[in-house]
Amino acid sequence: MLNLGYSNKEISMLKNTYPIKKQAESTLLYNMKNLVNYFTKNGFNNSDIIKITIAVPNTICISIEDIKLRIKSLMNYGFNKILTFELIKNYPYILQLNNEKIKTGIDNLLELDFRPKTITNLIINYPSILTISYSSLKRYIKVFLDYGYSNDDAVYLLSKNYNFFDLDPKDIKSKFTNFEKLGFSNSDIIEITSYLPDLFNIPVNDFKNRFRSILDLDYDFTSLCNIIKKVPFIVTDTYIEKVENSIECFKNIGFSIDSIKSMINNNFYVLFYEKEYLESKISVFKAFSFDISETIKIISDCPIIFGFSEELLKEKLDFYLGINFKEYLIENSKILFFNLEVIKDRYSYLSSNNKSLDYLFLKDNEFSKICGGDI
Amino acid sequence: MDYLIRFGFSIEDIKNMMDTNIYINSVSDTNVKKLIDILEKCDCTTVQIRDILLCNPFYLNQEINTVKETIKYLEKFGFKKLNILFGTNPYLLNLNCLEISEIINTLKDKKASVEEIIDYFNYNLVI
Repeated sequence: MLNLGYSNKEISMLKNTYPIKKQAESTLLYNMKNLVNYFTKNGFNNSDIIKITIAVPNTICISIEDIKLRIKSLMNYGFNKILTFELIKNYPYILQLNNEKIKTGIDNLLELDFRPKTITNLIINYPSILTISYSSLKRYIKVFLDYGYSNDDAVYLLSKNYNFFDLDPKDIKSKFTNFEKLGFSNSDIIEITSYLPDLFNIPVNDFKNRFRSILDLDYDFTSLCNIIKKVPFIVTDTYIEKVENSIECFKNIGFSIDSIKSMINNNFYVLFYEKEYLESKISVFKAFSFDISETIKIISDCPIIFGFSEELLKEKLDFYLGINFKEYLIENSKILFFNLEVIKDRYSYLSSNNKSLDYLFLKDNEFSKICGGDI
Repeated sequence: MDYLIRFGFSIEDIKNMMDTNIYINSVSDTNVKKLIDILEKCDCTTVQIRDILLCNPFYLNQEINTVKETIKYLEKFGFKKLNILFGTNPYLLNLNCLEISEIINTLKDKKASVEEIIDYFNYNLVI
């Protein structure tokens, strides 16, 4: 064992472990030799083996045939060899579970409608799931069913957010209550978490703090909750950062607090654009000789403009400036929202028939009455 | 993302889309193709599809069946030029039937006719 790299202290600790003390030294040495051979052949180095035996000293008491049987059992349930050995490295305790325990653990999950692929992921990320009894698992699921989740959603949520298994089911109920106190309804919580189980990992008392950049604009929390319902991923760290950066960028460009709020209300997707992207759209307006206050007015009134491709935006500006509609555009930027092909057809019809361009942006049926056709 | 490149998106386009929607990575090429096919069936031109996806890269993460149901619902309601509707209102593609029917019902409560409801969708950004 010294040759393998065990320290004297570790050897002494192992020798004094209860199951090892009971075994004959010759059996232990025989098991140890087989264990080292087997795991070395399968890509383990000495320190991996030491880690396993220190974490689970009982491993040395199990025959290699029995260990192989346990590994085979895992592989029968969809684990490939690489995953199985990775699992053992990360969670040596799994070797403590005999074939029957592993089978029971997996069968319990299958019985409760966890999907085979989910089970594999769940065991890799949270191996002690195999030691949770059937009745306990049912208690966890019941908490979600009682709150209104479907069985499928409850199982999905538990398999994605396995931290729940570290909580007492009663504490899970308090998570629901805390989110309700924030202003989410029962159905909101179900809808959001069915899409984003990680929501429950965000401490409720930190929740509003995460959205400080929006709330500091005096944006009301109820409207923010409505955005969260539509795009739950906004609560993730990556998107929180995007939101902060875009708001900062809007301020730097010169948008007023009110116009930022108005843009978020009209099109919250503006919060997800990168600084360079937003600035590139501003520069298109500059290239068409709009000054920054005109640009800000146009975009504030019609924030979908940020979503336009550069070509589309140029094409629209080119057209409206070409027909001398610059002033009209600044005051009525919503015209940029309309389909350009439709407007071009209408323009062509109106100008060739000497009709007023005031009709250009009428609704379809009203325009049809003017031109007597379906343009 | 191979399919997007084959479709004509530039690397810059794809980068912008991925910056906005970090979940695009998890979408298979097969699904991207199916979602684009759906737009083609709505008579969207290549240019319109590009504009829709650039504006709303989140469309690529929608469930195919949900999108199909939404389109069926809109057609049944009376929307005709879906290519123009989605071109001007690309985020509409992120809504399911239930969400759209909620908007429609709110308008109906305000006594809006079918024609007025269609106009509302054609002339206002719906998110």
